[in-house]
Amino acid sequence: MIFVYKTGLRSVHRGANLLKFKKPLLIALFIFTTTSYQNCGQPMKAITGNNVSQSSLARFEAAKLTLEKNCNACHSVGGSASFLNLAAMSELEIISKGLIIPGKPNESKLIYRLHNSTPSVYNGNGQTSNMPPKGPIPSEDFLTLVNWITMIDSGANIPFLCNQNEAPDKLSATKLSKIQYFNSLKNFMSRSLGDVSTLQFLNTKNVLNRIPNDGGGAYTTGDNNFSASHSKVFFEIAEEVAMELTSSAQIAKTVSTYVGYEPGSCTYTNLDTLSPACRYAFVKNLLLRIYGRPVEENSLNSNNELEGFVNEFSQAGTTKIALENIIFRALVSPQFIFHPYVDILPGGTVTVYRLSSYAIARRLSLIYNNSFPDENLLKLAATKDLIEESAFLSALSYASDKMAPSINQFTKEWLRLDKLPNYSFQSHNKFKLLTTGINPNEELRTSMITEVVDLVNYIRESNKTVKDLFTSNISLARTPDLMKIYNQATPAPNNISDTNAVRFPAGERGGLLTRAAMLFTGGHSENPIHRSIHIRNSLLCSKIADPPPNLSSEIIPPALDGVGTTRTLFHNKTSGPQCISCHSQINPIGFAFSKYNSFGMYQDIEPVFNAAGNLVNELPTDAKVDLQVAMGVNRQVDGGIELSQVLAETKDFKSCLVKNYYAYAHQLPEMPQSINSCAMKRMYQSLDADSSLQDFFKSSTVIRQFRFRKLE
Amino acid sequence: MKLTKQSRRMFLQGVGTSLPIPFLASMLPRTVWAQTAEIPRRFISILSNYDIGRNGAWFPRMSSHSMNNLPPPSQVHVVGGSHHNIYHQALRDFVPTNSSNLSMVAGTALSPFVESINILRGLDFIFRYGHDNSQVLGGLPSSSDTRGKLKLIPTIDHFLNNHKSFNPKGLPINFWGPAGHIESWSYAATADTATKAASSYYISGIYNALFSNGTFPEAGESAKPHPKMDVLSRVLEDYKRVRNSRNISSDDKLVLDNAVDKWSDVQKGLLQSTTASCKHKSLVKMGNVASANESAAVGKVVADMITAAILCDTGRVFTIGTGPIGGLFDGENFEHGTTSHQPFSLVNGKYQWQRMAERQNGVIRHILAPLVQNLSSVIDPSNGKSFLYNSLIMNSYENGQVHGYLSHPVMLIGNAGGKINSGQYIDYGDKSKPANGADEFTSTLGSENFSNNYQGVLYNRLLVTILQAMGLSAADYEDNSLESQVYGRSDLGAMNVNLSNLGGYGYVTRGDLSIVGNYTIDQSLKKGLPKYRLSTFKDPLPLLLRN
Repeated sequence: MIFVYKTGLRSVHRGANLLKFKKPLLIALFIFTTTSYQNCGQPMKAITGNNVSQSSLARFEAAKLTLEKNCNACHSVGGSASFLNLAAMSELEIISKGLIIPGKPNESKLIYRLHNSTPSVYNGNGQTSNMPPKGPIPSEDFLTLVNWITMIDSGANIPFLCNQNEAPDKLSATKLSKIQYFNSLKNFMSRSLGDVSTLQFLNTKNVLNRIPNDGGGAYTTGDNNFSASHSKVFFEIAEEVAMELTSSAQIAKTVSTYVGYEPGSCTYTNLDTLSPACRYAFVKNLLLRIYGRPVEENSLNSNNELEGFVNEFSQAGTTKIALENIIFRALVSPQFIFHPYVDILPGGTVTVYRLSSYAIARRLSLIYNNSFPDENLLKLAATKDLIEESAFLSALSYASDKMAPSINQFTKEWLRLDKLPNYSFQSHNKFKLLTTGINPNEELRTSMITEVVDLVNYIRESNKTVKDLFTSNISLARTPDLMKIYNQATPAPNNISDTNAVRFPAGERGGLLTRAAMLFTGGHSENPIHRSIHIRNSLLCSKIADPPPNLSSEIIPPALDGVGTTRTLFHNKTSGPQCISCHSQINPIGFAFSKYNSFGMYQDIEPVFNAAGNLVNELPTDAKVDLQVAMGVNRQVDGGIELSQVLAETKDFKSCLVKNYYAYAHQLPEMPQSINSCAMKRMYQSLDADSSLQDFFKSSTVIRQFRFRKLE
Repeated sequence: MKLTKQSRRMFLQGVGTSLPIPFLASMLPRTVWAQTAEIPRRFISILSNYDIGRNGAWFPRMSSHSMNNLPPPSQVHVVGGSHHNIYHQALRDFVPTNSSNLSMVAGTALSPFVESINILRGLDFIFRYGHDNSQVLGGLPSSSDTRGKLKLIPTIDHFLNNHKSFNPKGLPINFWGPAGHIESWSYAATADTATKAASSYYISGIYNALFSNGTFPEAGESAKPHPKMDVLSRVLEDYKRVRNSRNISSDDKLVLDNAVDKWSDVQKGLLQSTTASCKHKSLVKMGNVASANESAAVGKVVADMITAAILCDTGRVFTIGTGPIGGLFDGENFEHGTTSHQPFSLVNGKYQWQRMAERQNGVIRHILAPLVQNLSSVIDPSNGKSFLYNSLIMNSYENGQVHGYLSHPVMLIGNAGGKINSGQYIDYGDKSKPANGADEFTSTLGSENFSNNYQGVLYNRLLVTILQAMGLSAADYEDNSLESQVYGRSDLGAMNVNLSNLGGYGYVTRGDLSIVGNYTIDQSLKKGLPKYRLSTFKDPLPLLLRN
């Protein structure tokens, strides 16, 4: 019972922040949890046994409908209790906010609030504590909610579930992302052309810019839309590459390279009269590299891929045209562009199949290297059974050792670094004051982005943890202007160690959130709202709804008045009754960074300008905030360093990071909605155990289910 | 490029399906195509006389942004040297679906083609706009003040048409426009006597000029199929085999089915090369160019006629001006001073600039979009690319924002035979040089309405870019024999240094102080010109030209 009390206490604390519960509630809840539904009136057995055959998603959908039906009048945007938009919350959010405890309806605050006869003992204003105010919800609705909570896995207090022994996450045919397509093409061409000539060709043909951009999903990797633009551009590029590799200057090298990988009985002296053995060798070796798997010869799918391609020699007028057509055809093939995981083997349950070693290698390479497998990985797949743990770990280690470019891309997208604001208000006197001695140019913006990317890489490569990422006082600034912003005399060394690292002045800066790229607004004034929304969206996965249309004119930042600090101006602007319900969740996070100006420079004193743009005062900055309402944490912090430390420990942050990286690495079309994922559970456990950042990234693939595919 | 079966069929019915192009060198086998020096290119300008508007209406926007806070492109292109960096972004980022609005003026009609489009922002004139219309093609700023006084140079459409490397057959230039303004877009009639011109207000006149009064012969020989036609058939079989594999999930099948559709479209596009024809007699003679913005039917005829002329190779340059010029505007008499010079006055609940944007949208929907659709659906056998890929279409409008010279909007469509990169929204503005209030529009109508306005680069560089994209070199068009002083003034010190060696194209240094007027001096010379790097005058615009 004591454990139950403590668990309930922690959850109620978090929920209480949202519902503005006060201390008496804890007493009330203690009484309630010890008496366990004394006033419920619902038989528990009947409750828990209801609809047990439903899937977890169906149960949640039913629960959401019930919440919408009974609670939306107040708990929705524009409602009197819009601070808790129940219908818009995911199951994970409802759990992480402490509104329910998985598997324990009798300890869940949501059920407690729906119980219709408990007298009010905590708010002291005579209102009933029960919801909804108009009266009890129908008993069948109540049962739906209780059933939903009862059936959620309550194990380990982890916000992700792994209910089945071998239930692989979904593995669908996915279009190569722009960067995957480019890298795979580049690596393919480099095999015969060499790196220099390949890059020259790709630059001359402007290949990277011609590939349609990815977009629309949570991450660019998850855009599975194959549009007319893709077919048009991929057609053109495949044709150009095929022509280049079979041009008079390159054709001999192309043939010798691919035949040479495994020539068998092939020998030739004249390209015009390639023997059948040479033709087969060329096609097999070429397709192994473009498909990322051996070409099918006597296919289980009645699909003799090898013969189909070798026939190009008899259909074309010359060897050159045949080779050109073979390369072209392979580069627009589904096996290259969509790389479906058809190379599976029996070995799981009836519907679960083992991936072939090549499929596993291909999957690892696309996740960690954004490219099809290289020669070493192909060799590993050819010689080892990657379904086996030790062989798989070797392949994982090899692929993940080269994950830096992929993680760099993830960092930029996760933290929206590509959306760093442009400069604005450059003629304002405050802008000029803040940029005294530094050059507000593109190089500075780029160096801010680079520093954060380098920081993540440094933490990863030095086997430090996510917590380190949010507390490190090591600077990665290497350009004079960014060093000036950081008040730093020497640039960060190329190979940073604990002994040679350049560190920020004590108490000024520490962790990811206090880096310039996370603070920069582009203009003369910092914007605590934007800073907070950025953190909420990217790091807490907790989006605040847009202001209602009738308040759209209110989103303009407050004008300088010559009297207050930026914090004061924003506080005054957002204190109205129409604003405060949302801004009580937003402002504290942004205000915690009040000691950093719009360029991210540390400031104890803030220069105060009037509306005419004149410096009229200097006021001390205040970065003390209470995180109860904004983050559901019963903590007061003073500044960005402390907030970073607290944030990195929260369940919301950890589950958000898990979802973000999982969406990026596994090419999901959108952020994961379901909490049912063995991979995400493993990733969360990795974070909870303070594993290294490198191991965290590897944890998304290390589970055994990664090597299997479920086929409906 | 997405064509429904119906739309393809309708186009082929209109333009012809049975007879191949009889005389194009590009009909030769592919190995011979590669030996031909230049791909035939076409330059088409469609320019709206809907007079003055609001430049922002031409630029892409995210749906949540207001006119006053246009989203700039987000990617940075570092130019190097002393040049400021250029911001650009894929247009597709702004137009996630083919039903998304590209801009207020473009609407949705061009959204399926954004990969072939560039929208340019931050191109600045240093002259105040006049009403000669030809300025966007390199003409003079004000006909009443300058014509007959300044040395005349042809607009780029005439320059191209007269150049043998671009127009080896000496085909006539085709310019059509409202009565009294037929030739004004492409200044020529008085100065360019060498040009053979087909010009008319009525479509029948254009038709007769293009096709010899309908007696143009239609005969020919079979075209060769595209070299990748058969291979693509086998690719489609590959897709279908994988799609039918028992190791494929239902989700995978959907993905591959969609891909099969897209590859089929590519193949159908290749198929067009065997059926495209210059058949033209089915064209209906109706209407005039000016009414095309009012009528989709008239606009379609204009688009089909240009397409047929390209397929028949009876023209390489087409210049179209369309607009009311003193006519009716939205049911009212068009009066420049009250309609154009008061963009923020409300009529029937809409600002004047919004009403003008809607009319400009009519030009795009009725003429430009059908033309782009036509040209994108027909393969030019000279290189296996579409005629759109091998052409360059320029779309712009007359006078900018109340004669303001900053950030004139231009849309380029097509790839000029592979010489132009496309699919980008490019802002040439220098983010370190805010320019609100630097021109007449923003200074008289309130700079707060025009945030994100920056000093850009000289508009003349677009002219240079187009000329090079169409295959000309600097030696073909540069002329260093003209004035070596800005506006003929000798008191401008460093501004005049090395001007005689500038080269480039158009009116930057040529002129006389006494004839350009005080307005130009105040607004352009004193405020604008000293800020520009005249040394870049002859350089093409960054990011557009392909190596």
